[in-house]
Amino acid sequence: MIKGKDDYHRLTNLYVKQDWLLSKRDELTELINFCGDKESKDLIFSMLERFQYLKPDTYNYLLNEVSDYIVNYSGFVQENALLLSITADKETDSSQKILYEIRQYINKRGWNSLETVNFFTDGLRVIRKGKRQVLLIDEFVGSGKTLRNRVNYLRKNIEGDFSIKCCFIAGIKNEVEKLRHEGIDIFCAMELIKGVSGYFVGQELVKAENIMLDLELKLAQKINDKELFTYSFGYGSAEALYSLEGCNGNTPNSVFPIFWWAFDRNDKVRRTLLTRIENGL
Amino acid sequence: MTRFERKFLIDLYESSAGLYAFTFFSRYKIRPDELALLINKYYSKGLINYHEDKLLLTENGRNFVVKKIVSFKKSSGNFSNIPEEFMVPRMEINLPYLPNITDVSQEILKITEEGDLETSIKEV
Repeated sequence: MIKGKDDYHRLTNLYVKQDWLLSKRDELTELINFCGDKESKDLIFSMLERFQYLKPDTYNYLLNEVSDYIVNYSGFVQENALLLSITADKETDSSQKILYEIRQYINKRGWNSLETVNFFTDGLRVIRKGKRQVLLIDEFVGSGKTLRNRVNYLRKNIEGDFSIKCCFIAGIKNEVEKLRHEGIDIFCAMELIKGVSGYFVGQELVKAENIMLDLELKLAQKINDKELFTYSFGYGSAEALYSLEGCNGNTPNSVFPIFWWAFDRNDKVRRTLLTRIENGL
Repeated sequence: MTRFERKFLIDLYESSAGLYAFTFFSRYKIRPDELALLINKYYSKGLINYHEDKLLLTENGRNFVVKKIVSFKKSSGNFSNIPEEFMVPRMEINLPYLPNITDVSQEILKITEEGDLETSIKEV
């Protein structure tokens, strides 16, 4: 894997900067070997160098930021507010994780009787009973598709005046801005640029996109009933370089599948750097 | 601190302009992840700087090496200044060894009046 001084330095620098990779040496080696040519390796190194793999101290800081927004800057009052997970199916998800863990931070700021609901559709009953200030909470906003659906659902199904504000630990800056332009009020504690199109420009961008597409062609095009095409460059082409695995979380489907897609094109199991836990994958 | 870490710090101490990370690979075949672990450990203690692939001891780092490593080598204690002619090759751990009792110091091995051996090893 190491061919000379430059390779050695690049790999050492990567480990120094991203020390979570120290415990994933075999997985990293496999990924680098998977790349094959120098251009692919350069792209993967560049992406890993910019990767946000949250550690507990960063995660705690972001939970503090979101809770500070809710209590001090949202303009809501706890008597009228509802903190609602966007989870809408039976499978547990990170929206519920954030909802559960942020309660402590909100409580410390003086809101000790804020109503919380951990299943999206159950929230409607509570809103109809009078909690007209709705705080939707989730971990990560990638393409924004899920959030749009939830906001539209509430707008269609709740009569009378009510307000919605959405809170996220992290998200893709472009998508957050699009949602704001669409009139969705959103607070995102950590805004990230897209991993390829937000970083490269001009011919470099075209080249990087082609390299990533070639890499994705080396992955299994389908796992069970899940098509790789749906996750190309991350779900909704979100291009995320982010994971909460270091804090007992999951890797969002917004992340480039090259880092977590479990099979290669020969249906051989890959030892991946990240793990995406999702039914059917 | 492992023996390799001592070597690592002494190498840096002896090189006032610093050393490239690759130099440690050339000298000791250390893997990038192993070296990164050392870099992070000693950087977080404020003992080294790492910039543009090069490692350099900080002022604190140089003081640390002088106090904890170099000065230890120059100790005036009896056991750290054994004359060259009395030195023998270092034994491997668990290598069987039978000492010549007559050459063993009386401080270590006491012969009782009855001629029985009394050592610092007691029955338990």
